[in-house]
Amino acid sequence: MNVLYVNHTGTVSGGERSLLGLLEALPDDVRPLVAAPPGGLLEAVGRLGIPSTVIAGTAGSLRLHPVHTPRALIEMSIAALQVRRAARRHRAQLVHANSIRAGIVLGLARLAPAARVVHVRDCLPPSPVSTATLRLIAATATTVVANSRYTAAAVAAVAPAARLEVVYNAVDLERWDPERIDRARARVELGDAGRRGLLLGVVAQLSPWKGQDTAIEALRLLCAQGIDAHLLLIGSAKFVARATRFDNEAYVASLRARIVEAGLEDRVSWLGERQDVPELVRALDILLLPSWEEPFGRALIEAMALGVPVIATDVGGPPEILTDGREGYLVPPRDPQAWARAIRCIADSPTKAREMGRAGRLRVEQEFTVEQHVQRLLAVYARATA
Amino acid sequence: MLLGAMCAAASEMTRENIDGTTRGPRLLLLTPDFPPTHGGIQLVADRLATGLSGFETSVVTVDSPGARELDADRALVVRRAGGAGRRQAVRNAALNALAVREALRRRPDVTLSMHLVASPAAAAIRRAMGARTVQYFHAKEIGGKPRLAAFAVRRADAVIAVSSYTAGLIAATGASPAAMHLIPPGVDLPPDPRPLPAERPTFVTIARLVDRYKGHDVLVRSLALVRERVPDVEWVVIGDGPLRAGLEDLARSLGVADAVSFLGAVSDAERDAWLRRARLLAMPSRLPGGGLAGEGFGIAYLEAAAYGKPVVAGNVGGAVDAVVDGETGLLVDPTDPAAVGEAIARLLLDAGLAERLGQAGARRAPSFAWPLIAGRVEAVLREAIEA
Repeated sequence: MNVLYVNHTGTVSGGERSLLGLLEALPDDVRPLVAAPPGGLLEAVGRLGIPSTVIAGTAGSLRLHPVHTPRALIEMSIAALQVRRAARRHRAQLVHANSIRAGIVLGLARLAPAARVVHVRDCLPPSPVSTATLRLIAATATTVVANSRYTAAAVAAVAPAARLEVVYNAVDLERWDPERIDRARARVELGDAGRRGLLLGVVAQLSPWKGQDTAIEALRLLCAQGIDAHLLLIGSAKFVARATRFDNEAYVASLRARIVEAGLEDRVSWLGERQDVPELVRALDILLLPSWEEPFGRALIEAMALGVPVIATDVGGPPEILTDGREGYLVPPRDPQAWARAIRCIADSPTKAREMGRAGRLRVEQEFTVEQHVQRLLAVYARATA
Repeated sequence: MLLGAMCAAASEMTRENIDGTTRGPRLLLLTPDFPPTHGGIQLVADRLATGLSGFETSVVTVDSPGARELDADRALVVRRAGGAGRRQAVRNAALNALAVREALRRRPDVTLSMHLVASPAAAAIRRAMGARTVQYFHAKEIGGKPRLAAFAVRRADAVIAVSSYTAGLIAATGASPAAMHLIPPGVDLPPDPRPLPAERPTFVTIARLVDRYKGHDVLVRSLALVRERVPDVEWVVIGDGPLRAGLEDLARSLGVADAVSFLGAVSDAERDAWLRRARLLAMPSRLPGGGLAGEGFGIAYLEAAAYGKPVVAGNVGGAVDAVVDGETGLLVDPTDPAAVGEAIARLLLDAGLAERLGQAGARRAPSFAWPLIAGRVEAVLREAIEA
């Protein structure tokens, strides 16, 4: 089967990492071509030896704006023409859009009779534009794949016509293998931070909805209780274009100010974008995912695969990934007191931490392997092309 | 002795009303949770409102759909604050304001606050009018409001904890109560607990689908394991709430949907019929994250026991008081689907064991009969008044 994969941005973030994992594990009878704007994604695709083609970027906001909206529409129309051409050239029987924006491009590209699969990995904030977007996708896609039942429910709520299937993200168990990475060494590599009594980490782009401010506040509370804790912030402020939903740069500035005000400068490490994320996560005592709302929560399955206990927001996909109290805890977002309490629950009991780590690895081995992910997507492809 | 009897009779007579009804001390019962809504606190508040026979009880609660009809049918003094459908904080404020107004009218001897959120009114009434305060603690409400909990403990003449787990949560607030009493919730002993035939080997869960910690998700995950050993098993889920859609989805995606029946909220009669049909009740309540509190006791465990049914419960929280492990049920790691599934399958397959645990539960249930429990609460109220 010839499959054209379409991504709306060239920057590698969670959704792109999922796509790369899928591409790497595709069976030989699926012949992929990747269409994306220039950037890290296409470089990574090239390293996998998979052919690619460049299309226009469509990373703009989906909110209505006198300048950005017409511009985004023009970009998307250009991308749609490019995708249409690429699909013809590749003789694609199926086109798989890796995001909502790529799904709009598919909707504009009139690709029938090729099957159109749109992968929805985000929960858009409710607005007339997001509703119209999801309805366009529901009307033009053969199948909408959601990365969690939560995301699927969000789509179904505004676009009941969508033919929805849920396929969870997966994690590469060999790359995220606790046997492969020596924890003691990973701690040493971190220098002073690695010598702290309790090492916490957030792996997420720096954006308000990812809730790093809650993690910092929880850190402050823990330090006030006399805990020798340290926080790693892994990730950078992406999508800094003015047209994005949040002013991420202002958010980073506010985080820095808060850290100084709380006197936590030497207890927070800004690690930015890293290639050695498995090593960093392996060094953690607890991984935190304090997002306001998380459509899936890839960082969770990665940490769980490494046997690291997790504490996650209870809004969105995380309740589908872990059982509160087994692989970690689910905590309401934006409640630093509750986060500090949950952290202590794990930090105060090494036995519990070990059990949670073990349970996490087991859960991922049972439910979130790349093999399962690929099998489920191939089943979706089979139904979409039938 | 004759003199004593005469004095007692005289004091009884002074409390005699013109119409002949006996009047005891005046009790103001404050509760945000009260029938017709469902839940554990609602049940305890209702049984005490109707069961404290030695007191002249008036209830202050909040309005809810169907409340007017219910109150009209019952010989109970109930005042309801407005704010139905409004934010929780607005409803709580309305409840507290009405409680103070009602206290000014009725001049209670003692206030029984069934929930933390009514403690500000109870404290105000105590301060302004000298009415004693007895504060109930369940569990869930404490985790979310540690400061208010500490306040409520300090301002009460006595506190009642429904389990040793709850007592531990109270201690963790850092406030030390003037007097602490451990009084579990009660159970209504069924007039007819005889089992009914079931078409399939059935187990039942009874809880609103509101709190994740009740463990429905773990039960869905355990169901495939149970079905491997008991192919025609049926899991009957009684109760409704926002978690339902997600649980139905999960059951479908795990391929066990045909082994589950989500019945939603049902009448008491229908619930009782399912308890008679079921082989056991399973509710693996666990401790939620974020230092929040979980199951304070678990009245459903007692209800199952009263019908001679064994239970599968978590080995944490209030269930440890409600269930005697290995005697009236099996306590397991509530976060482990394998352990939960194993315990359920064991009880479904080993009729002798199920019978033995069920009968032990049935023998234990009468010690939780509501008249006994209400009597213990009454003693605490009297002690508070006399202190």
